[in-house]
Amino acid sequence: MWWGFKLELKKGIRTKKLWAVLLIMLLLYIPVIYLLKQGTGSGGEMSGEAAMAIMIQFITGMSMFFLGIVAIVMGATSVNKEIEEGTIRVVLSKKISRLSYILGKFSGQSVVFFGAVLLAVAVALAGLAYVGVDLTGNVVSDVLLLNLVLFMVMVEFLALGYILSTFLKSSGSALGVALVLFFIIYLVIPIFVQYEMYTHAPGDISEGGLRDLKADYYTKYIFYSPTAQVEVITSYVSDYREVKKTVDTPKGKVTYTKSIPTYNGVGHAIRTRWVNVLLLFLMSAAYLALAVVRFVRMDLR
Amino acid sequence: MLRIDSLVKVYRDVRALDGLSLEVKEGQIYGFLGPNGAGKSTAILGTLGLIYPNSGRISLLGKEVFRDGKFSEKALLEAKSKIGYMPEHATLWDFLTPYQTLDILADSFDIPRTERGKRIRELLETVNLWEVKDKKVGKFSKGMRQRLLLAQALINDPELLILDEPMSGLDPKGIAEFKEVIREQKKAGKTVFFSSHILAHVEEVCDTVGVIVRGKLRLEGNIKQIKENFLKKAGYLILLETNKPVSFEGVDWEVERVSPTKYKIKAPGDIREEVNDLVWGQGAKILQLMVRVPSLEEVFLSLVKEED
Repeated sequence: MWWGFKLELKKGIRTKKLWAVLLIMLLLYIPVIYLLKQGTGSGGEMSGEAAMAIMIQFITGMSMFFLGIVAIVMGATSVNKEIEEGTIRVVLSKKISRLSYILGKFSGQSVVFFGAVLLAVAVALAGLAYVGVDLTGNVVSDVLLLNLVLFMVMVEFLALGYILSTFLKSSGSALGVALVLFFIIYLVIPIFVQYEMYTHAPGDISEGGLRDLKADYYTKYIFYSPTAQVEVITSYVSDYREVKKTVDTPKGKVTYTKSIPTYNGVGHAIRTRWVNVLLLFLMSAAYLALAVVRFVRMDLR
Repeated sequence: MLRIDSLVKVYRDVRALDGLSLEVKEGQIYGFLGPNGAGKSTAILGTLGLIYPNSGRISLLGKEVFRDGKFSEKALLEAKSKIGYMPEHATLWDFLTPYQTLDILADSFDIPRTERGKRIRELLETVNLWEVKDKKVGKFSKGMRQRLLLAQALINDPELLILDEPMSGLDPKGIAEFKEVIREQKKAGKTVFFSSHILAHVEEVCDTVGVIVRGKLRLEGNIKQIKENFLKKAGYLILLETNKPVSFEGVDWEVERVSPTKYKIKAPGDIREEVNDLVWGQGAKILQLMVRVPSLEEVFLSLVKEED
């Protein structure tokens, strides 16, 4: 296993498309950090906690989209491409078992994604420091927890990609199917589930009630989608407190209601939605197991 | 050293191996000859556990590794530690240098660090890649890649070397170098099993040749016997011109009347004298005479026909 791990780590670090995507993603942080700085600076109304909550939602969305695509694509071309190129026949003619090879390969790629997510999160942390958020122990541990959750998303996408890679002989076809599958899981199915949820939601439901309902629907109907599970988890990072505000206008005083995010932390979100964290683990294991079972029995030609 | 018994492999509706049986003895250089699609690569991949045969038996280095549709993982891994394999159409990692490639593959055999450097240097010198040991494999030519593939097959100093079409796509110099390496292996007492679809590639180095056609071993013997069989199929292509119809009664040739005054004759063996008699007797004249050596594919197909 160690052998495949080392090789895959070397390969992964040299995967230009992963780092190119990460760079694009990090460049997109700049306008967000700029806006947060404006919001928390002198004259701004945003608290440090609100900035933190927004940043966590932002990192999560960006990482799931950008790195998620790379993860599923990398997984989908990991075995079939090696069969096409013949490298797998060289490797497995050596004293290496199929099981240890695929597990080593998977671990190596996972570590590469761990690094990529860590980098994304570390840059976000630097951004928060620049915005003026105090980087206390709680903030750092929260960011690291978020890193772990996002890492699990990458692992699940990678494992899903491995299934495609072991069932589809052509890496080109697998790549196409992976992209379509990603958009179905990430975008299409959640839209249908949300439509169904809104159809059945009571008319006077509060923001918190709607969040709980969405969490139930996502857990029940899209348990196989890592992005849906993380969306549920991160929606519990902050609560929204409704505050009545009054402002003076030329026509007199106007009172309005404003939702203020109160930051609970990633740890709190994980504790509250542990079922979704468990689903991330279980589905990753199930996808990987299916890919491994297929791989150890397949013809490598 | 290598024994295959009644091996069957079916890909959907294609019977790639149809009860293949063969034996390679210790110290032998065995040429596994057959036309494209005959089942050579399938047999090799099956031997190494890279594909799953449907039935049959495989023994490697005296140990049974496959029986009743199952591989013994332990026996196979043990055997693989003493086997070197060079696949057909394979690339190695473009981002590594030849030195790094061999180093990482040596890792899988737990070759000690102290011996590893020396072994890699020896191998890279043997395949003439030592000068470019620090160049990325991605920049290598096809010939250089083939030589590196050969080097990786030798990394564990194998007792049995399995080469799948090792000379395909190589220039004459590359082929000569390959043959030299195989001869050196023989001198060192190693066993070599290599496949080819070109007789000339195997004739100089092999002491035994097996001919596989449509998944079955059709012929096995020393290279002299095989070559005689091959040349027996050689013949002539003759173009005759005549101003009156010619009778070809009593001969077993392939005759085609290409125009009212011309005949094309194809026949195996030396038929020059018989044609001469026929021509003089019937007033025709020879326009063209060519020695026709059949392709290996034709010889293989005639072997199948004979067996059927």
